[in-house]
Amino acid sequence: MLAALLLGGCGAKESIPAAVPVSLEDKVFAACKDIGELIRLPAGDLTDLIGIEQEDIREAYWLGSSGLDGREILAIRALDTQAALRAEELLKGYLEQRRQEAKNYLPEVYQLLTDTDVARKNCTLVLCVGADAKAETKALLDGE
Amino acid sequence: MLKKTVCLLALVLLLFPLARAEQLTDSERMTFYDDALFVGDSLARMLRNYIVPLREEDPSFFRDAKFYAAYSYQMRTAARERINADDVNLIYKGSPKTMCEIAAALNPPRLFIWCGLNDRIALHIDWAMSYVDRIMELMARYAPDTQVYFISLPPVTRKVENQSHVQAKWDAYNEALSEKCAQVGAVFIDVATDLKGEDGVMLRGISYDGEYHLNEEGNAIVVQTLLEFAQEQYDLGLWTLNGYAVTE
Repeated sequence: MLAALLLGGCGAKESIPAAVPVSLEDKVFAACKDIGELIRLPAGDLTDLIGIEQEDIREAYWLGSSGLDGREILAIRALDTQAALRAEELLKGYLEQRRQEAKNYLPEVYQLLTDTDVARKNCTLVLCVGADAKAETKALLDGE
Repeated sequence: MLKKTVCLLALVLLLFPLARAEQLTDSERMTFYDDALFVGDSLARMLRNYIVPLREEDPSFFRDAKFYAAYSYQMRTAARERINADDVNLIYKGSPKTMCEIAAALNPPRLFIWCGLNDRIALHIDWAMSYVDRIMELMARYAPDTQVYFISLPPVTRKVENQSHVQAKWDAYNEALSEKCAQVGAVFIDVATDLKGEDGVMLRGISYDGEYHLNEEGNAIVVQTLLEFAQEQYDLGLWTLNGYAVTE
């Protein structure tokens, strides 16, 4: 039991942390402000756009701006450590692509995108784009 | 007797289009866009953002249509066969891909292309025409079963027109694009007309940014225009319900 506690992390061989009762959707609504106007982005686009395989995802919640202000909140609980690492790589590529899109086109959005990064804690990944991205990221990863 | 037969035949041929002109419901017209691929810039991205929440409520709304759009995407990039790392590219399953590569992968029945703003295309109509040629050549090789549609530029706002006086150029580009499409086997979709007011620029109250982009109301008009376009295609016998394009 001590060994299991020391291992930490997640994955098929390591024990998954005790079930987190709060859904990602609930965490997003608790942690993030001014999201009423954001649209729920389809889970299928996590694969079709970003390349994250659906079988790598245990749970995901994704909001994006309907306009051009760049606001985005994406939280993913991956299936296991390997899945989380794969998803992390793909999300970093996605973020880089968003930066390239905005660089010469939407300077304020570009600034928001360069001020943020993909964050991972155990099997949970978060990408927040917005004025309070750091605080939101911290809150979303809290307890993961 | 022969004369009567010929007259009867002529009458039938004349009336046949009218007989086909049944008014489809919006749900039926929507099926024209099932499994379609939309590619473009921020205009296409915002259209997608308008459609996505509606599709959450009603999966038949642009059922399974896929959108690949990037904020500053250019028609020049859409006309590339190979990725240029300096371009803003579309991302398909995590990798930058050209439009023709995505079309090859998805093999959609229809491809709708909505871009040109970032090329300042209305100021370079000759470039635009060469891009159209290139796109059609690529599509013939990469996705020969896909019908290609080019969507017109929307009108500019009164603010932009007062500053830059470009609407006439926008209109000229749209006309040139329409003619080009007829020449190369693509189909032109005019969304500009329904978005214009009597003064020939964008209707008041439908702009997202006061310049080029459309808000929710503007995108609602675009969707309505697309549905009417589907009706027109049906009336022309170019599309049947429960099927894809009738052979041209």
